[in-house]
Amino acid sequence: MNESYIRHKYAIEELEPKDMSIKPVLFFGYDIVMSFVSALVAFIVSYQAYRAHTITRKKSFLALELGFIFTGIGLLADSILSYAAIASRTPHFFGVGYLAYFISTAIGYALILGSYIIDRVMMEEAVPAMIPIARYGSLPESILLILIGVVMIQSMINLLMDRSLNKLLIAAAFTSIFLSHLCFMIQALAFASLLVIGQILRFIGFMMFAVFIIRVVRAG
Amino acid sequence: MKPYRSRLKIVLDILTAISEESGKVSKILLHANLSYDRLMKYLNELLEKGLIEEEMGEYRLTEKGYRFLEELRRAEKLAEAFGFKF
Repeated sequence: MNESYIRHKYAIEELEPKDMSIKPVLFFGYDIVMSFVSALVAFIVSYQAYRAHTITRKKSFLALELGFIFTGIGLLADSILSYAAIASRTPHFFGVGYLAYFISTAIGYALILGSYIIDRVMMEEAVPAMIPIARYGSLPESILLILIGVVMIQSMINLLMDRSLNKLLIAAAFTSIFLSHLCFMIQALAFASLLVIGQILRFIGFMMFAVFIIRVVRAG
Repeated sequence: MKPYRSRLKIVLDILTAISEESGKVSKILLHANLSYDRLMKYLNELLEKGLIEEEMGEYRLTEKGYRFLEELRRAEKLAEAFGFKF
């Protein structure tokens, strides 16, 4: 057993909330990795949107690109600061990490939602060329839930209007992320074990984005 | 009523026609579904940008044109998946 593992384990025991009915200790550490990988996927989606924006000059792609950048930054900040909190045994980093995650993700989701608004409203555009995750709050999560909920509904409408595998992947990804925020919101109020399910759902959502991007790149 | 085709979509149709069909104007006209005058306007623009080249009355994609077509197809897939107009 190496030194970092022992430090990690003790940090968890110190930081774990006493009132947590189900202790997802086995999940500790994996959530950080999943957030990190999700952040990378978000950056890849953002890069594809950037390339699409470069070639088409459509503002909806620009909003999408920025939306995924902010979402990625939020996830990255959360994973890095959670790791820093464990490694340095400084619980304060958890709070900072979550605040960064919340602000950045809220901006990200708002921008993704904005990309749809730009695409629908600006018609002329188309013409020319984790560790103690119990610290997740129910209020910020409900804000994120509303934002991503609208995005999810929009993606489902798109799917219903014209079905394709890519649209299904996008709709399923946003649905998965929406459900993850629902889990985060509820776990802050009652069931702590839901945070594990929430993390897994969010990870699955970003994996769907990854599959979609692979399909897009291959299609080119 | 015919569905509206954006400028990007027209360019994509023209480049696809040149890449997949022969580069004869008659074939491109058929594939891109444009009037002769409009097609020539687009072809001249694509020639100026170095995306296509003309030889013996036939058009073909340049290296830059192939790369542009690839990026345009990816952008179309991305737009289609997110439900954006293209």
